[in-house]
Amino acid sequence: MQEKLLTCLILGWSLWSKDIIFLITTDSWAGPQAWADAYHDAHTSHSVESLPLKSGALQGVIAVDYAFSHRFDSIHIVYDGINGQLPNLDLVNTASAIAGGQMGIGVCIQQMWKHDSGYRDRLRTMLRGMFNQGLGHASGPHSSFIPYHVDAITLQAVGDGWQDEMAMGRTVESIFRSLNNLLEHFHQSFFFYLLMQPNRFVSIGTYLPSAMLIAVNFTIMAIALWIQSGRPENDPKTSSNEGSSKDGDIQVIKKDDMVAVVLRQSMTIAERKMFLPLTIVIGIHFLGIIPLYIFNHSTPDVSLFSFPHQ
Amino acid sequence: MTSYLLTHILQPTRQQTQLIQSFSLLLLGMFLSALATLNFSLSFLIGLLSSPLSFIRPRFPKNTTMTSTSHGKKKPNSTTKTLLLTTLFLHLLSPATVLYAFGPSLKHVLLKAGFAWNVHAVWTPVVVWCVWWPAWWVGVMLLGM
Repeated sequence: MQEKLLTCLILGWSLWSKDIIFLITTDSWAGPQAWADAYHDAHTSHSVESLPLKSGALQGVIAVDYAFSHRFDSIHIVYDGINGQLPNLDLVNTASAIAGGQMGIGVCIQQMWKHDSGYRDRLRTMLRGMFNQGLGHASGPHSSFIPYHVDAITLQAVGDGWQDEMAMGRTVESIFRSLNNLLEHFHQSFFFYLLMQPNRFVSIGTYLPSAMLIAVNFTIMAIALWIQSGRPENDPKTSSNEGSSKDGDIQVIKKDDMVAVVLRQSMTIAERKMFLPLTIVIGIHFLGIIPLYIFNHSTPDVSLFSFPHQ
Repeated sequence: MTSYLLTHILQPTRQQTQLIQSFSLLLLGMFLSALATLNFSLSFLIGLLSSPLSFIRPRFPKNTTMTSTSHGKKKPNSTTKTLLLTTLFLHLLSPATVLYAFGPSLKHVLLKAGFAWNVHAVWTPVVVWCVWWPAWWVGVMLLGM
């Protein structure tokens, strides 16, 4: 019914400069993925059929999720893609501005049905966004298109209000008209962001140092341990702790007006035997392939999955 | 288990133990920094969950006076207790436990993960099993030495 409305709305006009493809699939996870793969010729032919008819490069994808028959209240925008990739922020902003500004429909993200613009709600939205992005899973039919560098979002109708499918259809049509006149893919706005509210985001320049610091922590410890491992085995303190020392045991080091008197023994670097540690670490990392293979290639019937349900 | 095998068969010296930890942490650090440019949130979350790994100190065969104070190097009667606590804590943070804490059931989580890999080409499981889990394993192994 909705497609019929949309098609009627669209067919009469001569302003469309791009082809509009309606994709209807039986399921929302594997279906769009199969179509996207087939469209870009990246499919495996024994599981997915090739497409007989194609158009040019995909400009944008809007997935509409209106799963119930009563009227809805607000639109929930889902923008997470596979492997944590995100569509261009311009597309999200366009959808949000059209739905919120032009059509007067409320907009929410990350399943935050109520948002009071306070610190806690923003933090919660951002953390939910990070969690979904970190998992890298498909959060909607649109996610499969993002790895192909096609900006895509899903508009979900949520709540119980007075907006009907005409409102949804007009929103979609408005978004398409905004995409209509573009000659290029979206590239002006950000691809790496964390949304706190539909109209507030954190850019990568602000949040990347935090992840880098966490990663650098491990590198610093590794360097410290490396230096520690180079120290000689025997503690020089235990060998000679009286004032008497033989000639040649003590070394005087001068650097930039600073003078240090150290035992010669502690300045030597012990030879590092690296074969065993290297083999152990690299061996264990490669062993990680085993659970990966097991979990990805076994069927649900395997007894491995007979864990107690919670 | 692996630590028992290693200590008794290969008998690594103190220096080699330090080097094991050093290489493991180095690999983890490098992977996480590279991952931060691809999937920032994944790198952040895994970094947070594995940050205790950089604070463990294995017990050394001889309690030399040179080692700094940390887990496992205390007076003999409290060493085992701190060691047990640390090992338990680390087990709580392992990839396996974290997976279990997710979702309605482990089967559901694993099924979804398998689907994501096979259909959507999601490479999050690669990171979990090939980067995080080995680093965790090395950490637990070092604690047991």
